[in-house]
Amino acid sequence: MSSRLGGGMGFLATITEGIAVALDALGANKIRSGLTILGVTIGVLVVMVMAAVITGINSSFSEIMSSRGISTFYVAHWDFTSMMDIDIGGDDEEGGDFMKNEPLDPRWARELGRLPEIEKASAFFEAGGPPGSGYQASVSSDRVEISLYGTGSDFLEIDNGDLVQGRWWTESESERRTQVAVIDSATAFDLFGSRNPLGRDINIGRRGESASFKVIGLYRPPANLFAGLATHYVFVPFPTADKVLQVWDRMLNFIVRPKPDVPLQRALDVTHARLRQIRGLKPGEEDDFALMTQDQLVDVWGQLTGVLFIVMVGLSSIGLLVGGVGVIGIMMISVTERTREIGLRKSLGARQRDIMWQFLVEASTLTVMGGSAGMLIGGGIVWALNTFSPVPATTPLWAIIAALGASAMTGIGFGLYPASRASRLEPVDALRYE
Amino acid sequence: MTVNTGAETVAPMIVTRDLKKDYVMGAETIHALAGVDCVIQRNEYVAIMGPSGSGKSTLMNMIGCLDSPTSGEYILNNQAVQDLDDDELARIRNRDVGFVFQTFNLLPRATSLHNVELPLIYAGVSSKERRKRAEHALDIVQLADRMDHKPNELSGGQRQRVAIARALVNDPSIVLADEPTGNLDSSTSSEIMDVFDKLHEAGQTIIMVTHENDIAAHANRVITLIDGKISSQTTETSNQITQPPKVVLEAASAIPSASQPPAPKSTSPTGETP
Repeated sequence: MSSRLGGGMGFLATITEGIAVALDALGANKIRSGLTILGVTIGVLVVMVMAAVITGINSSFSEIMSSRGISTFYVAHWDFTSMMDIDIGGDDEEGGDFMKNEPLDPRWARELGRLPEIEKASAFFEAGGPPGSGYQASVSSDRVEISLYGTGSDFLEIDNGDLVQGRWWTESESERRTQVAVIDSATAFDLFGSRNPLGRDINIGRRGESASFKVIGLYRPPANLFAGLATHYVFVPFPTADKVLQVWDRMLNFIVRPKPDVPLQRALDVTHARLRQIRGLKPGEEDDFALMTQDQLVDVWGQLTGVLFIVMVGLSSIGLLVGGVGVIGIMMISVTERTREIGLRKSLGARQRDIMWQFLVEASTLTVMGGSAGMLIGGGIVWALNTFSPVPATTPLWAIIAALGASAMTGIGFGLYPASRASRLEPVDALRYE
Repeated sequence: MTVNTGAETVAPMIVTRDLKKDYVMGAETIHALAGVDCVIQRNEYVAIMGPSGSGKSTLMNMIGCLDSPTSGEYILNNQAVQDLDDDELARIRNRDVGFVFQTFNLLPRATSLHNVELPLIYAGVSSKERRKRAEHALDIVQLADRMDHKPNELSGGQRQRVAIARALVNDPSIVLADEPTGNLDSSTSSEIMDVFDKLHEAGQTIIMVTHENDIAAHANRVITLIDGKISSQTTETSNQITQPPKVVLEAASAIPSASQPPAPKSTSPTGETP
């Protein structure tokens, strides 16, 4: 009559039953459940969007880097990769090199270019994107903040951008310090509207001092994130900028390209030796300049985004934590409200672990729903970023899995206490509970 | 663990020896059960009566393994229940005991079918088999046409019949009913009592707590508790057991929905003790 074999609920039956019960409870208290899972939703949303943006930016960055040629390297009078050391509160000496070391002399680029291993070395300076470069371009009363670049005549060979109209300057124009400029379409539009900018004059300068340049070309930045963040490019020949604009020589760097058959390390070694010689450093004296390869820059970039990512994970953990505390609260209420149900289930043969499992599944159903909502909203934001902004964002699969996993774990972790309380109720007390 | 004794065995279904249950309330100890000895045979129909506070519900909970005794012995189906751990008790509640509560205790948002399936879920029965057995149990209480209704779409009598189907679905050794008609009007009560009567006729062992004499009159035997002790027992000679136990479900499925007046019964006291 009574002794049948087999013990307890099947694993799957418990999960489906648990999820059904959980959805039921969710549906019965929509607002309460919604508010509870909001923290989880926000946490997951943040991780998702950040992961997508960082992944997108990273791939965009590697793209730019590789487009400039793997073996191309940079020379600066200080090691700007050290600026990004994750050495918070560490020594300030590193940053101090920027002021302490003598700036590079643009003539040295020519010296480096004469090395047999080097194909090309050119000086360039870059006054970064607005706001803050300090440089403006103007035509009569129209005025616009620009990113000013002083470059060689062959800049396009190492940049991924395009010349859409006109021409770049020649080497001889550069040597003669001709006052010509290549501008991007944003600058052209702001200064000339729909008029053709080619052949027209613009004033470039800062703090009221400016020089007149003739526009000879229209530049289109490469389609990547950085192009989108920094618009209003103005390129002028480096020697011209050096002469007529108050270029801060500490913003000066060299870009060096070895000959194709020369190994990168060899090119670095000869450049290094030559620069020590030029700088007049004695053996044993520290370098007062730095060579930076693409790999190093990518590494630095990786570190930077890594820090960003850790910060984001931290922030979203707080979201999940808040959500988790909410889950504890709501599950405690749920356990109390359903004490009789727990008693009933026990009287029908539910074991402690069945009740425990039921509430754990319920808690994680809550948080996974929150996480899924966060993912849907996050996916929408990622899509919108891709479609309506220049920020490239791709959602990596691991982010989706991690987000769902994290929200399920939040449910299980924070559901543990209420669930174990529920499971330990005495059936007779639970049934009698009013 | 359990020993399947089979209908031909003479071993009693339930034996309690000096069963005691104390509740500590602050400094005071309340003896809810002060030593209960009783024997209940297979296919008995027993009513437990007594004033409130007499310990009848406590005894019921002991028999149903919802509560554990402070001391004493309780043997159900040749199995010493007081020695069992939590999981084994859950198993007994699942397989050997079918509860019917005064307040029905159905899951409010679940259909009749799902409510009846619940013990089978905890028994690890496959979903197909669950459905089949739950449908059959609902058929027995004549609610086959209300399977997809939720409790709030059912009358009180129908709810209690769903609860009875749930109690029967795992084919338990005993059906324990705690004031099963306490929340029902008199005509619905007699409808429910008819269901119990038919189940008993079909061989089911039934133990029922009640404080109403006319409900207790359906039972073969009435155990009256006062102050946690059995004060008297009566045995009703019954000529109702006409059906062999094997046809329990078939017979029960023919329960009429209208009430039949219960057959008149004569009572004769017997001081039965183990």
